[in-house]
Amino acid sequence: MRIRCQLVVSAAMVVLATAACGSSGVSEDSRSAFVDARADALCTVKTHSYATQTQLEETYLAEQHADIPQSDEKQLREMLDDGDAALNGEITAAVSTRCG
Amino acid sequence: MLSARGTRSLVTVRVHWQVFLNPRTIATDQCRMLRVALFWASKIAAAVVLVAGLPFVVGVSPSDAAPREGITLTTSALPSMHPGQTAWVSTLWSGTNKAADNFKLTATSTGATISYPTNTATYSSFYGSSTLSNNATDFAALKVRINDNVTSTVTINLTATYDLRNNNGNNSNPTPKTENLQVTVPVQAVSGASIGVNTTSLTSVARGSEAWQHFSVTGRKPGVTNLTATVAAPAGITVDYPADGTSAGLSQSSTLDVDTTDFLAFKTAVSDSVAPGSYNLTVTMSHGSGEQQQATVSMVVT
Repeated sequence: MRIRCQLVVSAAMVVLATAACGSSGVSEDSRSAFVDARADALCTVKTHSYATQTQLEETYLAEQHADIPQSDEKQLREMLDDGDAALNGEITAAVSTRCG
Repeated sequence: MLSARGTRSLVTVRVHWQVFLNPRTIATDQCRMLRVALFWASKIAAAVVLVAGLPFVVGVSPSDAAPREGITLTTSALPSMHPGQTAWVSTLWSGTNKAADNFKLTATSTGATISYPTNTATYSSFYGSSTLSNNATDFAALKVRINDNVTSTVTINLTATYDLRNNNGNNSNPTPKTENLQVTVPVQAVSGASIGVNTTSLTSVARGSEAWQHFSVTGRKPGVTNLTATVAAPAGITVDYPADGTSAGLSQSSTLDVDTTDFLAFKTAVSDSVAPGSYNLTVTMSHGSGEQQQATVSMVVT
């Protein structure tokens, strides 16, 4: 009985540790670069004005580019599309640090 | 993993501790009051540790214990503008631990005229969609035209409406929210000429040939309407205007808006008699109700 409990606890710890370290398969460097690019894009459009709506949107999209593998970029974009609260929170924190 | 011996040791310690603290086990009257006090103090301390430690166990700070109700406008001041200028600006919003759907932003101002993206027309919403996910930040854009006579900071009154989700999934049981907020636009007055001239030298022209010239200008002050230009050149240099006209007009519109750039086109023809060198041409710009502004540009004849 005790051994079974210990196995259950061990399995739970492995699951928690995996979740905490990021189960997406995206490297920390890619994730960090992605977050930085997104925050920079938001801060750029926050602090500048544009003659046209097109200029604003093109600038925003261009600033979002992160120099990371395409597969990581795709996966991180999908995470945002799915409303990943942790990733969104990292971007929001980075925006707060950069431009308040 | 604890061995059987280790487990017995722990059990022994726990029994001794309970015997020491439990008032029913106290044998002597001299220590009774002290041990009763210790017993209850240990219970209170355990309760305090449990309450204080709970937020750290679940990963939230005390300030997070009561999450904000609603999304937050993180823009307080928009980029500075000039009187008469029209520009697209962005308001940034950050979410809380609840997603917000159907976000609509409208704005009014006594010092500016506000309009919205073409796809929504009567309001603005987030760039990505009308939903702001949990903890996300996104922007809603506005087109702002500062009134011509404004000389100080303009206040823009924002009204944001959205449905704040209370649950995840299909039945989010949303709470409709309306927030009235304000942002400011610092307005910088412009001194000097109404038109900024960007061209200081024209395209060089060989003797006996001709070339079309672009004379670039930028609006500095409001009211530059019906802008035309004529060019005076030294002898031997002939100036012609588009469509055999008597003056040059702007390429895009007859009005030069504040902080927008356009150009006036004209053709210069140089006769064989002109000696090679640099020559000055005088451009006279007329606009509005009779205002004029002159500029001198050089042109090299080869």
